[in-house]
Amino acid sequence: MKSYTGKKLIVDLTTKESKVEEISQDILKKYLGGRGLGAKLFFDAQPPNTQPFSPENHVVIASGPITGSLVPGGSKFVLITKSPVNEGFLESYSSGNIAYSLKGAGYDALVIKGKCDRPSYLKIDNQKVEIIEDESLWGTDTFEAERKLREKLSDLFSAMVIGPAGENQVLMAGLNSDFYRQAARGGGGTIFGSKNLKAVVVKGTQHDITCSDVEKVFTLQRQHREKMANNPIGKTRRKYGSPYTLSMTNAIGMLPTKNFTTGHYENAEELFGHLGVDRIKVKDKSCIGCIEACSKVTKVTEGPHKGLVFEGPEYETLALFGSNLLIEDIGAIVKANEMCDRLGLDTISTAVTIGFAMECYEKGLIDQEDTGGLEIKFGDIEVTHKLIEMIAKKEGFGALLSMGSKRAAQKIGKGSEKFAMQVKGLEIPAYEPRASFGGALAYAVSPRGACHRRCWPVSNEVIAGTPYNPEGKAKLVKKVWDETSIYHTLLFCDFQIKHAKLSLQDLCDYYEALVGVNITAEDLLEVADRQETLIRYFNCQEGLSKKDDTLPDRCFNEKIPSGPSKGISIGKDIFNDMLEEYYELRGWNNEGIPTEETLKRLEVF
Amino acid sequence: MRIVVDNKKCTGCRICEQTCSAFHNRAVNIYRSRIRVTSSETLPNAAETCKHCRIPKCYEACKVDAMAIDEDKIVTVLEDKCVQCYMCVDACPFDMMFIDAVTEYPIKCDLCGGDPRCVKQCPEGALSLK
Repeated sequence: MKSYTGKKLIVDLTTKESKVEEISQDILKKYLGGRGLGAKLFFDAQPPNTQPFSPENHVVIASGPITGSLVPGGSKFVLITKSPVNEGFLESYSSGNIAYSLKGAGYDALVIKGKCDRPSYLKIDNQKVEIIEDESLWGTDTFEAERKLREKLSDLFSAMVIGPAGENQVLMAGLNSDFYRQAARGGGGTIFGSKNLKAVVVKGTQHDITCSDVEKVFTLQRQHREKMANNPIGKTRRKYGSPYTLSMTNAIGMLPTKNFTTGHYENAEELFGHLGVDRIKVKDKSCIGCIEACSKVTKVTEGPHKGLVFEGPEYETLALFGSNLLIEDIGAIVKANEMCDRLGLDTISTAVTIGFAMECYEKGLIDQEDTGGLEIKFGDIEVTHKLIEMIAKKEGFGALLSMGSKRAAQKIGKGSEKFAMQVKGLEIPAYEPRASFGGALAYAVSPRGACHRRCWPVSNEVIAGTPYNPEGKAKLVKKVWDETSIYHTLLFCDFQIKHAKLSLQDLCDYYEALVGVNITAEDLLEVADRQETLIRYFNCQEGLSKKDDTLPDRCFNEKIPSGPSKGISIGKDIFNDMLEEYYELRGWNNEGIPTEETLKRLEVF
Repeated sequence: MRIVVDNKKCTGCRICEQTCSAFHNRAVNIYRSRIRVTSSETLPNAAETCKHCRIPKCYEACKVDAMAIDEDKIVTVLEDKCVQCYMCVDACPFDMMFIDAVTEYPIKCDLCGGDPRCVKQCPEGALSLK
């Protein structure tokens, strides 16, 4: 099988030993790569009921067959570990040269276990693997850490680093690589911090990433580019990147506003949406192997942060630090984004948790005595920036918020859990769940908690004109879920596929030209189904169940008060019907547990 | 003839590097590419490759006749004669001769025999042959 290296590198941080093992052809065929392969390797290595902060918790970083190859969008990696937020399956994705380097060093996957005695980093220089103690990096922010590592080693090393938030085991700490790419969600950085692991650096220069038919892939790539260039969505996404999403969410009342109280913000497009970002855009930037260049380098043009040059912000950050906190100043949002990246925080969870605190303050559930004198009001830029810093450092009131909105609500009490906007402890991204019933179901069943990356049915719902309707949504969610899951298993950046409208057959053509093995769309869908059931099995084994597949009270019991989605809430019975239908489609029982028959049919083990 | 880069269009995607190595080695390894994209923290710098100088310093520097030059002044490395002294690499005023990360022979752009693949595969149209 071309393109694969067929090998995994296993590193034990406790004993400082490492070894290389073959990945069997059987596993590669059944789980393909990326999400599937990572899940399988993690499941096989992790002892059941391991605590997230225990040294025994494994971290798997996997690439896919298209990683580093000539196929566009192959710059991603997936990090899998046990979630510090909900003790379930955590998957977190990012891109950058690190994925390429890992494969260029000869490994499809890296498996890390154990814990370093002292602050250290893991250095992989092709075949040579070392764990290096280095106190001087501990305490540095992500940008500084990456700069120092490159200075110390060489520019040929790619880095994946944590910032102070990860070191302090803040529950919303992510990992940075190439300065502006983040595996942000779910607390991957938190687990690195618990292992005293500041960074993984990889130099991968000596392994060629093979290809079955180079000329064929060249041809497919040129056709792919044409499809994107001729696609209206492709065109706008190339120009505006993810901020363009805001024009759609605002139009249908799905833009989180004031801690998800409502779903529309007047003139948001112009103020801090795609038009706002375009005003301060300096240049388009790509990840390695990308034909879309969705990343926008910006430079703040006015206000206290004038002159700040930054890569981003993306849609989620704009919406959640913008309308969700009632902040209109794009310079302030860029600054908040820069602070989160630098400190190693997930912008989504950080912003939503701050929004939760603002609502608590507004409702009088907390006061200045609780906050250490801070007036935490919606729209206050200075307080927002201050809280970001306090969360990362677990300072004062920031220590409470550093645990995320679910745990903060448990401490604050007084009914605040009703508007803690999270699922399974992970904060909801920038799509109001009440304005997309399919999206709401996807949030509820996502293994890591509220997540828009596993399945984003919203555009299908909007095109069909039925976002506020439960009919057929379980089927739609499963279909979009399985397709997306395939992208993340071959490990494409899904933008390259969605914005060029590639079909599953197109992906099979790429796979065959690259790997040299024939594969059908049905095969791919079976892999998607298999891995979902494996991941569900893992979550059930670790104690998660149907009761965790739910939404915040606000979604069920409060109607959206204004805007295009005015008057909408999701009935609990309607939600439960969608949920059980989804379980049935997956071959899980009505408690969401995979049946023996399904496990056997899909040959999960 | 040479490959000209439009800096404004280049997004730093490195597809030229992937393409170059795939064409010459039938496998991707950007550290074996004859065109290189320099990266920095925020702003991507453009790709750069051999200028195909009228008086090629690399060719002049070689002391073991391990370089061939054709009528279009395209210089190529003859691996069977090369002793890996890297005098050619040092001599290039533009730092556009590289060392193959796997074979360790010096490498440089040869315009793929007149049909440079990086130009064809660049998604931004940032490369042209002029």
